[in-house]
Amino acid sequence: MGAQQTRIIYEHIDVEGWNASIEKYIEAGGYRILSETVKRPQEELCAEMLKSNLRGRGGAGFPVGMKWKFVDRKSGKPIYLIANADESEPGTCKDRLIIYQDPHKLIEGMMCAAYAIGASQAFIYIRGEYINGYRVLINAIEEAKAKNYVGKNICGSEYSCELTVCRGAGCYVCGEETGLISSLAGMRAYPRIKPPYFPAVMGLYDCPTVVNNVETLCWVPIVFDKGGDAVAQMGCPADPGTHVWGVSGLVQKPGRYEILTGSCTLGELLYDLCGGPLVGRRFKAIIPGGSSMKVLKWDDKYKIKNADGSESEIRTEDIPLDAISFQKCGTAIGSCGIIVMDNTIDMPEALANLAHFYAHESCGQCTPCREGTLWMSRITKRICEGWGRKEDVELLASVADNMCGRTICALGEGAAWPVQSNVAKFKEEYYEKIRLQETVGGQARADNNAYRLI
Amino acid sequence: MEITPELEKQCGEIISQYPKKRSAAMIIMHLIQEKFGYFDDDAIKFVAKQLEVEPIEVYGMLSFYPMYSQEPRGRIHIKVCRTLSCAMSGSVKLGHELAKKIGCPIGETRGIYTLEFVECLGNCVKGPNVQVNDKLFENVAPEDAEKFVEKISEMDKNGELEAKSAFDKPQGVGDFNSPAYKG
Repeated sequence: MGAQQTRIIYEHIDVEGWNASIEKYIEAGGYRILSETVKRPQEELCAEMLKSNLRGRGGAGFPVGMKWKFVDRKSGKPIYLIANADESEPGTCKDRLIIYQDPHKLIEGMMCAAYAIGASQAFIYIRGEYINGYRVLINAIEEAKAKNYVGKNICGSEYSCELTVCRGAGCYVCGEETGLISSLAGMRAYPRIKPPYFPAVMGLYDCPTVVNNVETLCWVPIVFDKGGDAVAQMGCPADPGTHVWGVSGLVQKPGRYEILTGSCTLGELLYDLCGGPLVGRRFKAIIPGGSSMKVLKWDDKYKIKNADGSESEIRTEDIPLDAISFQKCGTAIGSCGIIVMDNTIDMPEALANLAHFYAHESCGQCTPCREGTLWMSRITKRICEGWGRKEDVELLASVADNMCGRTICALGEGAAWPVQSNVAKFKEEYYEKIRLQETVGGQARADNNAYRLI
Repeated sequence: MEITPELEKQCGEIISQYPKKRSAAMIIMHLIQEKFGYFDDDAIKFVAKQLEVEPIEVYGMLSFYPMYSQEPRGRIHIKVCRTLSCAMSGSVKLGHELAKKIGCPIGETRGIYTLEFVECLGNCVKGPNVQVNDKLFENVAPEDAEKFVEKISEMDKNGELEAKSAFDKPQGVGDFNSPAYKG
């Protein structure tokens, strides 16, 4: 069973002769599903989504059907749909190509989803750095409006829904759904605490709101067309469909690969499709799903429970590419952005790089995160600059432990998990580095020829 | 800053797309940033008036979002991604090399240049990534820093580097291989 791509969401990406115009999309059969969807009852569509068992692609992996089910339809308030295109998790760049090359796929998905949940206004919140992406979306929406796929009386039905694009301005925490909602309301992107601010009940303008990732929304027409049961049978039952894996870092062929869940293992992806490690190097560690997820040591082994109750031991490279398998190994697939590190990488330096990121991106609203991220950044930087102290290793772990579960949003955990896992799995490397600094002096990097990470 | 009737009209059009006026804040602030390069007191008051909020609310956003600026920036605004994937391909070294080559310290503005380290630019598989004005350059190896500076100076001379408005038509919708399409 070699690694193979199954291109469903990426069916048009990088295909020769393809472009982002509506003519190409319609030629390829686009918007057919939307015109059929608006004739079907909403309850049926939501039931299909629930049956499909589809998980969100943004990072948390929450079942989409459940998210839609929680929407408060009885409040009498307007319902909003937001596409989260604020792709800013380090290592993640899957949505970029959908927006740039196949914007109508997203628009069709959004209109199908908006109809199913009964929204009359939808938004796309795109990150500020995707400037041409913003232009592409505005242009695509105009095209779709002219052909009656967006706006009043979609496809000749009674249903109307407006679509507006909002642009972020370089802020990571806007990717957190309640932070995004604050930003879209015209405020600082401060996340709001749940309860009571569950978006499905109290979202944008305190109205029921659904926030879905771009890739998730692209799945909506497929679920409505093929039916929930058919999608539930694609790949791994607990995590059906495909994932677009963005492999970055130190491999021969970094890139985006769309793979049916459970159809191949991490090792097959990294060796068969990505061409293995750079010449003369070997893999040391990977971060499976965007930088917030726990790091995996390449040589580690994991005891996992099989479906029949028996236990087996697998290596990191044997982990099948689906959400459940990664959970069993103590991490998560997150947004499927794999960051690969090889033997030249100094783990404390890699952590210092990420700690700097979180310290920069913490919104500063709650104390454990504002202070914790800054402490972790300063401590890791100190270790990298040659002034590490033995007790720093314990201190780092204790700061991270005290952040988990004490912050308003998930950024706190996202900053603490890499620190906890990195320090726990590479403890010896930290102590050895600090010992060398104290006895020999200097920075004691793993490989002095490697690029500095901080 | 000069407030023209066209600018007010453009703001009105943006606001009309949102259920609540204040939601247009992000886009209107992008518009002001693009038109004037930075926010002075007049700009803050103008935005506040358009959105019907107090100026302090606009200031709160201005100081929170990194893409809005309180000071003028150089004509060539270079952002080097420093987050892990790009850093492993040498972006930290690239940033320091660029600083030496253009004579502008990181995080500062000198003459026509502004040079910054920024967090993830969202194109991790093709690091190191550098954004210059509204254009993205992929796979800029630190060893090629000098060549890169020559290239952007050349583009600047030919007027190819000038930032186009985000409100303009997209570039290269029909042609994915054009560099404009990527940026």
